[in-house]
Amino acid sequence: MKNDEHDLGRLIIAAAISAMVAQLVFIREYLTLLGGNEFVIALILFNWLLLGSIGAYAARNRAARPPYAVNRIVVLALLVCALAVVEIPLIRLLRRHLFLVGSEIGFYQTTLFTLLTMAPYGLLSGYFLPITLFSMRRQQIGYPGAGVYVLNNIGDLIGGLLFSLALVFFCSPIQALVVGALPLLFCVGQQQMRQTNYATTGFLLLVAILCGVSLFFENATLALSPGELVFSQESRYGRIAIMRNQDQFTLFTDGMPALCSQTIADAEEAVHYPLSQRQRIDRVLLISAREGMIRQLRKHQPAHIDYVERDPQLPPVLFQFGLIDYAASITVVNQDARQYLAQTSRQYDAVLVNIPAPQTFQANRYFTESFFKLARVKLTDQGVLALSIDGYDAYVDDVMRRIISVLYQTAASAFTHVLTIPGQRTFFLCSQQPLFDDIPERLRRKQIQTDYIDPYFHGIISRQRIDSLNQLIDSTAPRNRDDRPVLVQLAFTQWFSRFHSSPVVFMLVIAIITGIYLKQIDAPRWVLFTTGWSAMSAEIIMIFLFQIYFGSIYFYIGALVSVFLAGFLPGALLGLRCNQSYKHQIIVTDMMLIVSIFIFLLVLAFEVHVPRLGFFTAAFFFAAICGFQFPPALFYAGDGNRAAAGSISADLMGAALGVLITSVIIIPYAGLQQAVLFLIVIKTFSLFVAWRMPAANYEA
Amino acid sequence: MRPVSRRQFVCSSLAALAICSPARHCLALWPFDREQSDIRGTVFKGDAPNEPGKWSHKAIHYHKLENGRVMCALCPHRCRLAPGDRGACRSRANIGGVLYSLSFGNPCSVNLDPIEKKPLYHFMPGIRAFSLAVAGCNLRCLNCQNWEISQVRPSDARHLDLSPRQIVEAAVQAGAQSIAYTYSEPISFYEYMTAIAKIAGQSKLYNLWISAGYINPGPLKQLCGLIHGANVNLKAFDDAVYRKLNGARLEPILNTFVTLHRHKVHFEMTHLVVPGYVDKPEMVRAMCQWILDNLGPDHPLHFNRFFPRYKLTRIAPTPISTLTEFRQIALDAGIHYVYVGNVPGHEGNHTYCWRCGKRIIERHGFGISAFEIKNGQCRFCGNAIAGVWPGNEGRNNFMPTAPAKEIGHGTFQ
Repeated sequence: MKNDEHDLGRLIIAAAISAMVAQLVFIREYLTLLGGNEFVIALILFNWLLLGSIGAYAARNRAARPPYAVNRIVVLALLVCALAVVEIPLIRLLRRHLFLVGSEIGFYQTTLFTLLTMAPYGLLSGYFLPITLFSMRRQQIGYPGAGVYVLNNIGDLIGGLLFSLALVFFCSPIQALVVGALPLLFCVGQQQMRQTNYATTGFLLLVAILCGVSLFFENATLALSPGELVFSQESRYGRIAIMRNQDQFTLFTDGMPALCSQTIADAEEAVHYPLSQRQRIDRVLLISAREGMIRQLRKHQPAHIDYVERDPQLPPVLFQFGLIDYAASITVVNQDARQYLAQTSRQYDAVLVNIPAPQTFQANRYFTESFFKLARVKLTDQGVLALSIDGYDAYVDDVMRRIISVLYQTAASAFTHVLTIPGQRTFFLCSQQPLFDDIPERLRRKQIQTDYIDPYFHGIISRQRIDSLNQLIDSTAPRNRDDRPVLVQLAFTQWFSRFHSSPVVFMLVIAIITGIYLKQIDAPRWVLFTTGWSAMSAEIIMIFLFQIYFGSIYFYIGALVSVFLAGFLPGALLGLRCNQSYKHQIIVTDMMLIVSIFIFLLVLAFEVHVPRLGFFTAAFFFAAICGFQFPPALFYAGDGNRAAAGSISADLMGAALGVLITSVIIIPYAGLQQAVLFLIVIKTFSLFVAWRMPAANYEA
Repeated sequence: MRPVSRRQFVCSSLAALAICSPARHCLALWPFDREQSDIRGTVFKGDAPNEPGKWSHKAIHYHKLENGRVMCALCPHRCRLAPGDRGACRSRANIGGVLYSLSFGNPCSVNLDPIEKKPLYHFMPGIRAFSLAVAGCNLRCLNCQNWEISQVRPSDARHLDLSPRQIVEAAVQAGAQSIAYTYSEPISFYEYMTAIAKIAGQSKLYNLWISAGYINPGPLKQLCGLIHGANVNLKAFDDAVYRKLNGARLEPILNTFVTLHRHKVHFEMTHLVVPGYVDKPEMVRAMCQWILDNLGPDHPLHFNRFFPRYKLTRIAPTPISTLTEFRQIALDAGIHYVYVGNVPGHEGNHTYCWRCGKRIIERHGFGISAFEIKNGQCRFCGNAIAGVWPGNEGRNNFMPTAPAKEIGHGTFQ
């Protein structure tokens, strides 16, 4: 019996390791297949947590029946593991067969596709945890529900660290899944050596073979676009792939064509529009790069080019496939560009930003008031900052007009002169000195020849087009800020208008389902629901804020998430051992959460610069408080099998809604401070609910 | 809630993945079969305005049906509209049993462009085209570069109020020698286009029709009497590709080419080479053969480079070597003038005499850096070069050849 209990404990940890790796692989895979704006990211996380919650909720119905024997739990764990390795290639194939190759898909298709393809894995993995708890209780009467929560968190933490620190660097997605599954296979193997069950052993072998075979499907299912996949690598920031079609090489990042070896217009515009403004260019800063930029830059003979790329795996690939040229004057810096700008003592004649238009909070940091002010300080007196967003052909629609207006007003808050040029992309040139739009003439004076600008500029960019663009700029448009990413919100609007859809129906359905759910659950689960919401939202807000202050640095963000996960553990362990009354504990933890969030709000309101350690400490303590609340809430609810499954479900449901509402509604539409304020409201309501709970247990 | 057994739960979970396939049928959110998919537009039920707008104009080409229903006869969609319905192009609606064009007088985009941008390479090189568009389109191209105006209702786009006469006056004032109906799909503002074209013809302005060519023969024949030059997209030589990428059918578009050819309208063809869909040499060979058999070798053919746009954003641009190869295939097949577009500096940007092989028009972007055609003939060998050239404007159907006819129940006011 004791062995069985240990087996189950190990099994929960191993399954959680596998599940965490699978979760990260799935999210990255969906982002590559479906596109990675902030809405899609939130939607994927929401679906994942929602399915987990439904799976856990479904387990309530097994509570009254005899729990599974260990062998059945083993089979269930193996099934979860097998589903992960089967689903990844299957999702890729389904994406290709259900939708046109090369086409983007809209919001509702994305929602349905992710929900349905995630469903088998998500439901089963959600179902697994409470079912294991029931079996644990078969071995040890009165085993606390929070014990399983703790074991699961240990597995999550190990899985997260394993993937972030090792697998992402060395493994392809399916390899990562297989490696992530190894502890589980090992545990099951060990258990089977002690208590052989031929059917289970057979299934173990089958899953092991499946894991092996699935590796062969990796490359066959990776191709993204017509042509031959000649390079594919998982980077810490996403997937880098090179497709060859005849003699053309195209870099795909996260499934989207980013740079193409045979395109010259983009590089000419990005380089010559700003550099033609000044006669002498000594030092240039490239924030990310476009194909052929270095070749164009050399025409201006700068003494030095600093090329900053966040992802260290990207520049070698660009050089290898000739997407950008080598030059002795280039220094490649692998750092978050905003962080680099803040730290460097160098002054630049030109800063060329080649980050795509902001669709995520991360990218938004290069289009905000603070960034423009930072760049201005690092430019010489005559220096020019250039950035661009998607262009338009013959008409500027209202959303694009708002995007251009917001960006113009934001740039104008830091620079005396802002020039907009409607080209293949819409360019914004910013400087403290006057700027000029007669680009071909200025290039002629510098004796610089171009293949695109010289012959095509006057055909595409007429005086009339420049004037009409300037007339469209709305002088009352708000500025884009780090803590209020208006451009991300507009990117959502643009995405929806492209597909002629609206999230209103989806949000209504979610609101109705949530309403029905909340009406059904009792007070302690209300508390857990709000805690799940707050924990997930706080995690998102902290990552968002950390990126603003310190840049998007993979290891730090990974560490922050790990610290968050780690914080749950001591919290939950302490909660298990605390002898206070459950209601009292719940009320105290709710108050502590409210105070913590309030302090967070003050930090934001007074723009206190929090050091990195402060972030990690805050994340740890916040998670610890959330973790601490779980056991008393569970005990209060009775901690019976049915109650435990319901509590796990409530926690996950809250987390799912928290991630969705915070990421796609509150932050983009109301701002960071309001997002924090909303958490206080949620938790205050939870406190009110907890306060009104009777002192006695419900289901004791 | 009824308890769920383990077996039921596991089976349900596994079945969920399989649901993806039948879900396609039930939810109609994605096509039944990718190869058979069809994105052709459909009627917008009950989307018509309550009454015609300031400029709304009775449609020229439509048939009245029973119970106040009408059938639009302008394009092959032949939308059947009950009172209150709006057509697939979003710009025609049945209001009280009469079909109205809602796009009359409301251009949303007006620019002065070089004619080479259309592209029209054999029509008075170097002239300026006063280019205008009204929102709406009868196609649904996934790679549309003007989706902001082509896939919305005319009233949804910011627009000007300009009568046909005001358009012509503005074009003359801007120094344009031609008016181009372009950007969105001019078929959707047919009444406005023809009204402008009549006045423009009287003002000695050329009328240029830049279109996808998805129009019925009747209205097209009427249009042929008004336009002087056209560039029509031949998006694919494959009906299935047309249906799934553009929401149209191939045959009506081929008919458009034949009609234009028979009416001696100068036209050029543009074929956008979308990788993975229309980048097969055998398709290009078949297309060239059809052109030779039905239109002859003299209509210029442009192979344009694809760039990711609108909903087709996950495909890389067309390799230049593919365009070069296709140009060579077309030249080898016997088409006289074959161009490569959207590739700066490519040899396929220039015009060569098909007989002596000399470069007779050298283009520098949208500008002309050398022009070796005199009176419509190659300056080197005297070979006649198809097109409308300075000095021989009258030879290629320069002025309207036939008066406009009324077809259908509508009246042209």
